[in-house]
Order: sequence, then C-alpha cells, then structure tokens
Amino acid sequence: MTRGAAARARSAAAVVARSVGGDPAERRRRRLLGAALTCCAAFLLAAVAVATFGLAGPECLRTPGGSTVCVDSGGGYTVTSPPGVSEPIDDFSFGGRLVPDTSGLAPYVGESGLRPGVVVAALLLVVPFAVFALQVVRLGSAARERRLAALRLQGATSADLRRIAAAEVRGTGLVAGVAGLPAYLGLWLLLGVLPPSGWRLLPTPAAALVVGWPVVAVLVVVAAVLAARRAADVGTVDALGLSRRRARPLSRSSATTTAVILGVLVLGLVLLFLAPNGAAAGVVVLVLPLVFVAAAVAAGPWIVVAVGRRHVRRGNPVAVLAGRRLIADPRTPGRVAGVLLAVGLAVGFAVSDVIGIFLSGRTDPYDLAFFGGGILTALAAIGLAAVVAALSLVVGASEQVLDARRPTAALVALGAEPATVVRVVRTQLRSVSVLPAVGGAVVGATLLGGWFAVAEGGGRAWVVPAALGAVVVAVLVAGGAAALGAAGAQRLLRRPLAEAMSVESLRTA
Amino acid sequence: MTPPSTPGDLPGTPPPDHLAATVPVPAGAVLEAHGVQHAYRRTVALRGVDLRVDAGEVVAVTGPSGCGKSTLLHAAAGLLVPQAGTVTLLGRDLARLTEDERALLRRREVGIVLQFGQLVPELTAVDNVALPLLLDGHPADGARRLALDWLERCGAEDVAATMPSDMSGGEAQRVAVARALVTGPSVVFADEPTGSLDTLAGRQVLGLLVAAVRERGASLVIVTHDNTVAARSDREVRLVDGTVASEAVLR
Amino acid sequence: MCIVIGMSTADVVLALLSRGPAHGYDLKRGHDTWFDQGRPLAFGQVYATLARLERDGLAAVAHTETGGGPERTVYEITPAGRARLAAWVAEPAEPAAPGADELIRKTVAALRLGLDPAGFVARQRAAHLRRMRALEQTPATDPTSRLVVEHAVAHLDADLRWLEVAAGYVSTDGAAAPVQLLHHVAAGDHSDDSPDDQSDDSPDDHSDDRSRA
Ligand SMILES: Nc1ncnc2c1ncn2[C@@H]1O[C@H](COP(=O)(O)OP(=O)(O)OP(=O)(O)O)[C@@H](O)[C@H]1O
Ligand SMILES: [Mg+2]
Repeated sequence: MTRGAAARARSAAAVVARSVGGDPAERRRRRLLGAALTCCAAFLLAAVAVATFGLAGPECLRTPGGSTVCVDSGGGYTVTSPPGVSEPIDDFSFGGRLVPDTSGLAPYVGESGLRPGVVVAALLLVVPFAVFALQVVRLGSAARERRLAALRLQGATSADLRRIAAAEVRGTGLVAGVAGLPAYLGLWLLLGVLPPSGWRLLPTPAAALVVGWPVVAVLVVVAAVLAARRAADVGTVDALGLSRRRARPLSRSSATTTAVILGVLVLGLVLLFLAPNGAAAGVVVLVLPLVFVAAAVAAGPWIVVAVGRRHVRRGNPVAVLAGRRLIADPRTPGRVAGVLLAVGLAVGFAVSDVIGIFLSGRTDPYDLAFFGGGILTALAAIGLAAVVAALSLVVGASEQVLDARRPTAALVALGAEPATVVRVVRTQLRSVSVLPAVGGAVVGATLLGGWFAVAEGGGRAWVVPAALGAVVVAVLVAGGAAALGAAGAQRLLRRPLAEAMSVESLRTA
Repeated sequence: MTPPSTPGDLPGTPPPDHLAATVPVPAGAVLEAHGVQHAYRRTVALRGVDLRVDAGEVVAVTGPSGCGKSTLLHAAAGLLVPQAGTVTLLGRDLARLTEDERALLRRREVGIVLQFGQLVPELTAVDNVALPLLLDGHPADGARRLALDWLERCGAEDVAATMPSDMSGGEAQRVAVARALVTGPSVVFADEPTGSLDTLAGRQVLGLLVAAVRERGASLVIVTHDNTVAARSDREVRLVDGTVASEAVLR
Repeated sequence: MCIVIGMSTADVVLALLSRGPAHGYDLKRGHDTWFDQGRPLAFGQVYATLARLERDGLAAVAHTETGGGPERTVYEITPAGRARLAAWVAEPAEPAAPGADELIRKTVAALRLGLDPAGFVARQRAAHLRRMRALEQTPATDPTSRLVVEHAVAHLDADLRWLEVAAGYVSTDGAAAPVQLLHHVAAGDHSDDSPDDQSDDSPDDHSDDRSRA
C-alpha cells in the first residue's frame, strides 16, 4: 500500500469513528471506556507516587550545631562538621528528617521496606479497571460489531478494521490518560488528605508525577489501541457477523498464554518454598501477587468453560441454557471470574490473618493499629475490585441479553415463563461470581491458615480450629459479597431482560 | 414413534363464572377472536378483527405489509394482550390468564414458527428441539430422542448436532418446524415461516409444516405474503389496514 | 383456464411425431399425457392436423397397419419437419400482449364502471386461490406434467399479484387507474407493492422476487 493510500484509509477510519460517535450506545460505550481508563491511569499514578516517594528526599541538612549532613546513595550519611564541633549524629538526631517526611502516612507507606507492597497493591487495583475497559472495548456494543462486520462485507481489509477500531479508542484513551492526573489528585484528596494522620495512603504530590503523567497517558493509549486492534481482528469480526453471530471458543494461543503464566506462578511458588529467606524471595513475594492475578485472569475463561460444561451435564433446561451461554463466550465472564478468584483469595488471606493476629495474643496497640489498618485498607481495596468486577459483569451480561433479543423473545413465545429466562441469567451470573470468589476464599484461607498451623508447630490447640474457622468466615464473606454483587447485577439487568423478552423483540433482526 | 402423551391439566383452569362470562366456544373452534383492537404508540394495527379457526383447519392470514397480520398472530398466540376484544384459545380466555399460565398453554398446546432467528444460538439443533420438552420437565434422554425423531421427520437429521449459526436458512426453518411440533400442539401459529427462504426451500418447509399439522389433525394459522402459501390453506383471511377485508373458503 | 395457451397444435403434433412413427390415436394419447391438466386433444383435430402436416411436407405416411381391427395410417416426421420443429423450439414464445386476457378485461370494466370493484377483486382472488390449491394438490405423475402445473401456478401467482395492485387502485381513486394497470402488466411488474406502502417494504420481499424471477 502506498503512503497516500494508507493516509486515505486512515482518514476514512477517522471519519467512520467520528460519525458513529453520535450513536447513543456508542457514546455510552465511550464514556464507560473513558471512566475505566481514567481509573487505570489514576491507580498507575498512585503506584508511581508511592514508588518514587522519598527518592527525591532532602540531600543535605544543616544541624543546629552547624554540621552539614548529606545523605549518600548507599542510604548512609556523611557528616561534615566545622572545626571544633563534634556532634553525635544518629538516626534520631534530626527528628527523622533525614528520611522523607512520613508524618501522617500510614506505616506501610511510610516505611520504605513495606512500600513496595503498597505499590503492588496499587498495580493490582489497576487490574479490575483494565478488565472492565477490555470488556467495553471487546464487546462494546453488538451494534458496533455489526458495523465492523458490515464494513468488512463492503470490502474493508482486516488492516482497515484494525485501524478503524484503533481510531475509535485512541481519542478516548488520550483523554482518559490526561485525565489520570486530576483523577489522581482527587484520589489523593480522598486518601492522602482526608484520613486522619497515620492513616494516609498517598504522599503529597511530588515532581515524579509530572514525569509519570505523560508516560502513564501514553501507556493507557497504547494499551487501549492494542486491545481494540485485537478485538477487531479477523477472527473476531468476520463479514458474516452481520447476519449470524457465532460462538467464539477459546483459542490455542490463549491456552498457551494461560499455561505460560501458570508456569511462572508455579515457578515463583517453588522458589519461595525452596528459599523462603533468600535474596530473591523478597522480589518473588512482591511479584507473586501480580503473577497470580494475571494467571487468574488468564485462566478465568477456562474455568468458566469448565463450569459451563458441568451445568450442561446437569440436564435441566435452565442449567443447560446457562451453561451453553457461558461456553459460547467465556472470555469476558472469564476475566471477571479471574478477578473475583483473586478477590476471594485476598479475602481468604485477610480473614485468616485477622483471626491469626487476634488469636496469637498480640496486644501491642501499635501492632494492632498496624495490622488492623493494613487489613482494613486491603479489604477496602478488595471491595473496590469486587464492585468493579460486578460492573464488568453487568456490562457483559446486558450485552449478551440484548444481543440475543430475538431468540430470547422466541423462547418466551415457545412457552418459557419469564421467570425461567431470569433464572438462566441468574445462574450465569452466579457461576462466574460466587463460585470463583468462594473457591478463592477457600484456597486463600486454607493456604494461610495452613501456613500458620505449620509455623506455630501445631503446638497450640486452637490453631487447627482457628484455621477451619477462618475458611468458613472467608467463604461466608467472599461468597456473600459475590452473591450480593450478582444480585445487584441482576437488578441492573432487569430492564434489558424485560426488553428482550417482550414481543417487540420478535420484530428485531 | 408416538408424540408425548397429552400434557396434564393446566393450572388455573377457568372457574365456572369465568366460563359463563365469555362467549360460549362453538364446538370445534380452536381459536375465537372477537373485536380485537390493538394500537402501538401512534399506529393502530388492528381495528376490530374477528377470527375463528376450527379444529384441523389451516387458515392463511394475508394482506399487504403493515396491515396487522403479525399483531393478530401475536394476540392469538397470547404473546400480547390486545387493548380491546377477546381471544379464546383452546377454550381459555387469554386475557384472564396470567403471563405464566399463557406461557404454559403455549408450551403444551401451541407451536410457533417465525420467519427466522428463533433458535437459541447457543444450542445445537437437537437441543433446540428438545427445549420445550425439557422446559416442561420431561427427562432429558427421552426429550432428545423425541427431538431427533422430529428432526428426522422434518428432514433435518443431518444438522442435528449443528449450531444455528452454521445452518442454512432452510435447515434452520426445518429445525424450527420440528421444535414447534415436538410437543404435539393442537394449534400451530406461523408468521411468514418461508419468508426468508427461496421458492423451493420455502415450498419444502411449508409442505412439511402443513403435512405434519394435517396428519395430527391440529390447526394451523399461517401469516404469509406468498399466494402459493395461502393456496395451501383451507381458508384465506385477508387483512387490509387492520380489518378483515375478505375471507375465502378454498376447500 | 386453458393451460396450453399460444401453443399451436401442429407444432405439438410434430414434436410428438419426432419420437418415432405413430398413428393418430398414439399422438392423441401422447398429447394428453404431456398436458394432463389441459384440454384433451380431439380426434378430429389430430387428423386434420396430420393432413395439414402431410400437405406441407413436414410429415409423411410411413405405412398402413391392417392387423385385426380397422386400418390405421402410421405417420412419420420428415427432415423438413425436423427442421421446422427445431426452429419452433429455438424461437422464444411471444409474451402475452396486454389486454389480451379475460381477467384484465373484467378488472378494467369493473374499475371503469365502478361495479363493486373491491368485491370483484376479492371474488377473483378466491377463484384464483382455489384453482391454485386444486393444482397444488394434483399428484405429480411425471416430471414434465408437474412442470406444466408449475407454469399454471406461476401464472396464477402473477395474476394474484397483479390483482393486489388492482386492489390498491380500488382503495385509492380509480379514475385514471386502468391505463396504468395495463402498464403494470406490460412491464411484467408483478410486485405486490401498492403505491402507498412502498416504504414499508421489507428487504426479504426483494429476495423473494428475485428468486421468483
Ligand atoms: N412495536 C411497535 N411499535 C410501533 N408500531 C408498531 C410496532 N409493531 C408494529 N407496529 C405497527 O403496527 C402496524 C402493524 O404491524 P404488523 O407487524 O402487525 O404488520 P404485518 O401485517 O405483520 O406487516 P408485515 O407483513 O410487514 O410483517 C404497522 O403499521 C407497524 O408499523
Ligand atoms: Mg409481520
């Protein structure tokens, strides 16, 4: 293709992208995408802010006695005193001012050793938003998919389609990336200013943010464009998508990706097990949660397929329909299931931890504040992730419901009670929410509980019952929250479902 | 092969006073519609239509596009409750049934075939056909066997394991006919069942539908644009602009 | 309604003869098998036709059979006859001229004179549908007789579509209508759109038309 032709195709792509902007469904899609990407950018910036906190700390200080103390790269300091002055210099001489000002920050943010954990947590919080964004990009609206199929039918090449898809999200991605900073500042007001001293999670904005901002913005745009291009791939949108929508089974490449990530996860776990105190262990501990979430998100679709198959085997029509629907498009619900699996696991850890702390008889108020605060914060983050995952679920499910309007109406015409159709959707939602959340909680609570049991040597009688109790509580918390989320999603789906079941839907294409 | 035994009594059998309140159903009438009126937001679709279908009768409803054929069919099948008029289907006043009772009635006594796109996209042909039986609580094995039987009768056994997205229009319609007939309905409603097919495929599907309905002694109400389809019926009811313009007995 | 419209008997007899030598009774039977829905061929017509063919040199007497019963003359086709037959089949049939049909004459009269045109259209529609139904129900004895039925059905269908157009003229004002109605026929426009609902036309109508064309 000559340069001129490429430019023409690109401008045609821009025209298509702009002209569909007037479609209300498309506008809603862009707003959702923008919001999700903005949140991604904000949490990325939070990670940047926490990670770079203290790196640009004060280099030299003058002491009351006239000495100059400079921090050197190794973390120590050198003291230059005027002749005749000899001051005893230690960590506490300057009220801690040699290290950055951590007054007011929560201990796990303030203490440099714990800070990477917080960075990882911020990165983990990007995942649910990214899944949500991916969901919006991928399915978008059935109308969008049909539009791409129609373009393909008219002779657009797959490169054209990718270009159009990219053009559709580029602007949104850029706006979201730029809006990331204001959003972060809002987050900072919420988490770094409003909370009482000692509970603040985000440091005062520093120069690093100015550097991080454009980098994050570019990252967001690139990720969105790449996702959109993939979603517009020939395999996903064929010309026939116009008239017949096919099931999109999982591909071999996604199996490979899942296997690789799972392999890395196992490798990390083995490393940790073999050398729990080695130098690498610290890094592994930090990276492991990220790998785990990646593995869960990658494996989610496969889990959903497995659950779907089990439903189908159960044979009753509601289960069969729900199962078939899960199998027909396992990707989006699968990713949500992955996030919820991770959420469940985190709940399991947290609950186990809390029970462990309280039963271990630690009564030091500092300890309690430290662990309690950390766990509360973690639970809030987990809750946020769960809510975002539930919203992804709503977007995906309403998509599927509206897409299947005509067959759904035909099903009702055939004599299915509306309640039956509702039960199908409920089964679908629960299978990808309650099931993985409970599974994660069981695994998490058992792992940590088992760890405690081993660490305590089983010497104390309460260890095993406490571990079992932790499992039960974790299951109740995670399962309950997921069921609540599924119920909420179901509520939000009531209207699209009613619309799909109405006779008018028999008139749609 | 025998069709499944007649389904049990429907719950909500009309009480005596309810029976007295409606027009007595003439013996042999499967469907009695009186003065049916229905309007969508701005458009008046039906302006007082009477329609009677006897047991074993094949009735064609024809008329120009937009004259209200589909609306009449939907009202007759209990998919919508018209704003005025009564519809008595198999002796039951549809307006007096709850939505679930109407669903149950359709499931057990009524078959429905639409123009296209009525199969559940996630189910194979045989599962689609078995679905009404499964919904009615029949055991899965028996339902699938019966479904296969009907697919065979409808000449669609080759696509039994195929997904709707991979079927031709004619195959999908054959499957839809099998699904409409698998429960052994007393009346079948079809809205342009051959409208999306070419002449030959359309004729085959129609022949299948009419033959199967006649064999069972069931009734068929078929909405169509196609004169050759109308010519297969016993009686043509022609709608124009929401009213019955003419009726012709063809038998 | 006669099915073998515009088909000259001489050409058909020639066609039947081309299968091999035959006598008059064979030819009549052959004709009635080919066109089993049509009017049977009269014996008198067979012999008159054979005489004409012989005169024109298209058929000739092969021999005379005298076995048992009455004497029977067996005819055969001549090379000139074969040429004529080939030319006849090669030449497309003349499409019907507008106004040539009783149906059109009656419709135009009913519309022009305002003699219950709606009732006329409805009755005519019923008559056509009944005929169509009867034709559809005749068992197919052999492939070409089924074809002949198909032709009749297609014609009836075309008439019915045209009647729908006529019904549209009944419901609008009918003053200048009949002339345009004839245009519909002349242009072979059997679309079932009445002039005022073309916007409602669904796409599948078109595919339907195409498959019929
Ligand atoms: N959901 C709706 N909202 C508004 N108007 C509607 C709706 N459904 C149907 N109509 C109108 O009601 C009238 C009758 O529609 P209906 O579908 O019953 O006609 P039809 O005879 O089946 O037409 P066709 O042959 O094209 O299928 C039409 O004018 C149509 O535009
Ligand atoms: Mg219709």
